Amino acid sequence: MFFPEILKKTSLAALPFTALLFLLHLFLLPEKSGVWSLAAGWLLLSSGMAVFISGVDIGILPMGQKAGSELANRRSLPLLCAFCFVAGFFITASEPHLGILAVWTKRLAPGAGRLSSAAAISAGVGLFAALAAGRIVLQISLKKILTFFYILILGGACLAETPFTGLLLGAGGVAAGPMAVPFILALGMGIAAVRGGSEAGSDSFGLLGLTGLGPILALLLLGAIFPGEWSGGVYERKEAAGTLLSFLLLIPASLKEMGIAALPLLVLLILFGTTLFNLSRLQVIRFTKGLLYAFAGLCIFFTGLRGGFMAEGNLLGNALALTDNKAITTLAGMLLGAMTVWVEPTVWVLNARAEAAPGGNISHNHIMAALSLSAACATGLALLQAMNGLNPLCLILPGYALALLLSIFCPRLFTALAFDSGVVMIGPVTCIFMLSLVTSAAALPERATGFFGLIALFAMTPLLFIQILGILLQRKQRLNERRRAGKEAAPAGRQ
Amino acid sequence: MNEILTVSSYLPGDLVISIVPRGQGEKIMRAVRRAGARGGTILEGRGSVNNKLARILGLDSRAVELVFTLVDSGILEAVFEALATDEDILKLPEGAAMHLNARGILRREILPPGARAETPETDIFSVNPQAGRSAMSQAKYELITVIANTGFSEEIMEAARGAGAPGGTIMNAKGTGRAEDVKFFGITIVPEKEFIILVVPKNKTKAVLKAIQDLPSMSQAGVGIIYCLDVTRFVQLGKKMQREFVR
Repeated sequence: MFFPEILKKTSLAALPFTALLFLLHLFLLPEKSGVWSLAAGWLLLSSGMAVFISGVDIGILPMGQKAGSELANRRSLPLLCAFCFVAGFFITASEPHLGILAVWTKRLAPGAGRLSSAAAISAGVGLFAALAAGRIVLQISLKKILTFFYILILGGACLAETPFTGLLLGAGGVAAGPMAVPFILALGMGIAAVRGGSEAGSDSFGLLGLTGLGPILALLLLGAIFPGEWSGGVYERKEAAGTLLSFLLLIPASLKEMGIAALPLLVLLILFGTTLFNLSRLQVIRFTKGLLYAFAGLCIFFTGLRGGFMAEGNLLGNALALTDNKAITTLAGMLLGAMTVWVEPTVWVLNARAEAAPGGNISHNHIMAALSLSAACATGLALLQAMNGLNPLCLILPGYALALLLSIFCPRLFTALAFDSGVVMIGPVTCIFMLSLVTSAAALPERATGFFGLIALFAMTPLLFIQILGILLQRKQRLNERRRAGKEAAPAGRQ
Repeated sequence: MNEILTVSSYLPGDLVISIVPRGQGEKIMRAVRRAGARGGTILEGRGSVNNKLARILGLDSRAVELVFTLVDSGILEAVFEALATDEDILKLPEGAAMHLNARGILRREILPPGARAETPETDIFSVNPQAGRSAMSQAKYELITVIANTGFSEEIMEAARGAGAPGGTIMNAKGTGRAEDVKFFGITIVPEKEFIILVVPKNKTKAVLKAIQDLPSMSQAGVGIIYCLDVTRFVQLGKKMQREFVR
């Protein structure tokens, strides 16, 4: 899409989120200083997202697609899988959110060091990326593979001694950041594109969803290898006050984080341009520009998110906790949750691809509505269970069981899309803003459980809503076809 | 009697291809239906925005939809009138519509109630759809279609632009796998193609073709193929409608 049009769309999309925060701020908080940082945050968030989306469009997506189709063209399964493993490994290893996963490791496997846990998670992503690529080539049913691994994980979670294990189900989303999501998505689309046959459309998706299983299994395995007593979780968060200076101070950190995240893609680009593929000069220039935009866009985005929204989420959460009104807190959380989907850059990327999916006839608004609903439910449930001290597993395990059941009736494309959404929904806004909000609103003495409950719910609800959407759309389409056939029969019938 | 009565027809007609930003194809459909056309088919592609700064920044591509509408001869004027005056279409930031001569349109229609069941089937061999059609007005433009292996569209577009083509639209496409191709775990690997269409004033066609022919990447056999079709009418749609097309 043309840049000014994207910018218009993203600013409008970020508006309700900002406006709601503004209103909540006016009603709940005594000091009004944070209002300006909200406005600045909105500006940075929406412009950063627009720049990022443009970069993804011209750089990361075509690069991933090119890689996927070129590798499939070489007709060597080992080469294809090896590439997916290496790419998945390094992209994950440079992921800024990997630090969040370190908390999990501390809980599950206190014996494991930070480096080994990062390596295990990255290897998990790489392994499942390779498996997912092999699946497309070998034409193994995605539903079967997903069912197999989820039953394995759910069974493991039920048998595990700590209930914490079940919360791992969101780990896949945390491990896949905004740089990894478009590349992995495009890789699958590229492999599916060179495939003849009718199922190429639904095969374009599902790679992300499968890849998301990697970190979960890696963490489970780490827990089994390095068991031990948990000695208290640490999850450090940097607080930022809403002044101009605080925005400026955030820039170097964003630059560094995103620079590291973009590094593997840059190395890949250099490899593609020089040795691996026959890229034309113009293509190299375009990919480079795209990568640069994606990098710059994310820097702007994160600066806005951290400077404008994170502190706000924390303050609002505290204020909501003080009101001591569970209904209001839950309602506010649900509304905010519904709107986070619109400011999550990874959601935009997936949605644009879903809309263009062949044979899907998927509307942007349908998917957004389903995802908004998912996020609202996830936030609401997370808040309720955290405030009432319920075990989140009581929701998560039946939820996954239902999701697997729905996949039997759901069109293949939507099942793939649903599992991809489960990974995509957990983007920077969920990880940074919702974390601040939910943990402080529920006034949790110990934040990790509440947060991971939230993440696991965020990974679970889209599986339900997107698949239900798929089933409903399929029914409607069949009904339309029948009606149309009936209409055509009508004139003759009257005769 | 519940049998649906249909009859086939084979008549001359016109093909109108409209190009509008992604998601706006429905507006075209509504306008042409009002003018008497029956419907259309939407393809997705990416076009280029004519803006120098955007091109330098590499941000000049725009997702577009191509609407193919077959119209019966006689309502062509009404269709173009509708496209030019429809309020929704006038608001579009960019768009274009072109007219190509469709030599014969074969279709099957439902007979209106009351029509006799004995209406004879059209015999395609005995009908000359062009008979009685006045000679078409002189075509001023040509639709150049380039089908090339994926990855060359950028170069092709740049070369064409250098030779005077105002812009183009790219669609992703697939080639056909050949029977003798080695299968990859039962999958036929099909070559990815890009389907590029450019509307060019007739006097510039040869310059554009030459520019594409001279591209180093087009020097091998089998990299791409090009064909040209006459375009009798080409108009801008939306906000840029009034602007002169030929630069």
